[in-house]
Amino acid sequence: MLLYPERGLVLNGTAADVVQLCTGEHTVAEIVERLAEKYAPHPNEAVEREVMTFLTAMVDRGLIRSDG
Amino acid sequence: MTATPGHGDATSDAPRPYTLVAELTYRCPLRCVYCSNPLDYGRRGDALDTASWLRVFREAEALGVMQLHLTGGEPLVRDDLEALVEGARALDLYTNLITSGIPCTRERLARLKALGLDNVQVSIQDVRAPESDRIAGLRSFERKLEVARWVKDLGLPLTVNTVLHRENLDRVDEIVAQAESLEADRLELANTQYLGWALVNRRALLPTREQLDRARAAARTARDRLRGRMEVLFVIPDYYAEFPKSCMDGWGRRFIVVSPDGLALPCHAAHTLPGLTFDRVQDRPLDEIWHRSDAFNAYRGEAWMPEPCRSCDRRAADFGGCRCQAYHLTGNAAATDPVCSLSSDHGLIEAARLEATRAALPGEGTPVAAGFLEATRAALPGEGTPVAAEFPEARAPAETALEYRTARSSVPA
Repeated sequence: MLLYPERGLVLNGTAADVVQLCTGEHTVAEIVERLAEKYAPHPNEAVEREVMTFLTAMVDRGLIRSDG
Repeated sequence: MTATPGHGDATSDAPRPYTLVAELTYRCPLRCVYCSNPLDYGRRGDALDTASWLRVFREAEALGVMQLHLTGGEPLVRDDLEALVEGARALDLYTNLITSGIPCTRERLARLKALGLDNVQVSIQDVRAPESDRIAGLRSFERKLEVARWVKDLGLPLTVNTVLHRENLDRVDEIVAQAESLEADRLELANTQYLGWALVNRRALLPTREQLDRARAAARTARDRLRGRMEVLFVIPDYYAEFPKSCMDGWGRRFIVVSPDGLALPCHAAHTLPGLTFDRVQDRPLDEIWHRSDAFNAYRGEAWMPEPCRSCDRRAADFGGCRCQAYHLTGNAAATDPVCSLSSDHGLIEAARLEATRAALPGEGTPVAAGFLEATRAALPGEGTPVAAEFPEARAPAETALEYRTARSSVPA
């Protein structure tokens, strides 16, 4: 669960995997790479698309910040 | 990338509290006309010491709570706030301080941050001192802006909360600009909900539908423009919704409120409902209160629901709405929330809206101050609260005090 003022967002397994990698140490490319390994044989492009969709939604809501 | 890491599994639909709302005190230097303190709060006292609150936090965490709101009254008047934040951090609770910003120092905020505070929500009543201070009943506007800036300077996330009503609803653009200039992470544009003091003052606060629609459009534009920078939330008054909101996410389902006198409640106003006996956390473990008390079970699930809720498709989405609103408007706490357009009592809401429309007509309007005065005189318990005595330096200017003394009754007549 992602907690923020007043509310919380229940994350499913893959979303939680992404968020756990959002530590400030990994680039988006690195996050995609790690998850593609974990979720093989899903193609990298599909993983990247899903990760980007999720991250964009989170950044839009101010729940995740992009430093670069 | 950075994010607040989550914890815990939270997907079951069984009653399991996520959030503890800890109302640490009834005391507050402000006297907002829509205050959420009980009408008779002047006769109630704070009953829980530091150790008791820490025990409540532990019991709540054991029940599944992950999020803690430290509120009041004004939580900053508790001199053990540091110990409470430290205790919450030790339990890995996400801790949000909900404050008026009065009384606060930068040093204290820095201490609270160091001890693990996660977010600060500062209330700012309007965009200029005269209007903001009039609603708050205290010269406080400039100080609030300063406190909000400290929050950001210290690297804490800032939520600005501005309660909307007839007087300031036309200034949504300016309220957004103010929050932007403070670099707020979130802006809550929360319309007044008409319970407690706000119900007493409804005649002076309820906007017209046209006014609300304009404000909502302005908020939507701001939300789109600021996406990714500042989250803009706009909460409409229940009175203008077609269906009720899922009050507290359902009775005894996700929230526990503990009042300053130690009552464990499904919502902050539940103690006003007749026929229910609420337990005190001093007398009974929270786990037992949550699972087994009659009060927490009273409106859980669907068995209590009357028609049209019982057979309504929306019953699992709005849980029949707000029990307190049902009681205070219809006299029956188990009625369908009258804000629902399907409720047989919906005429009560339509009448209130009509009153708001009439008040907005040229020549027909009740001057707001007079409206407050009249409405609140009738509701006054006839005795003052100790607030003014405790904040002698924070007394409202004379003319402001005169105008609004009735709302929170803390200024001697």
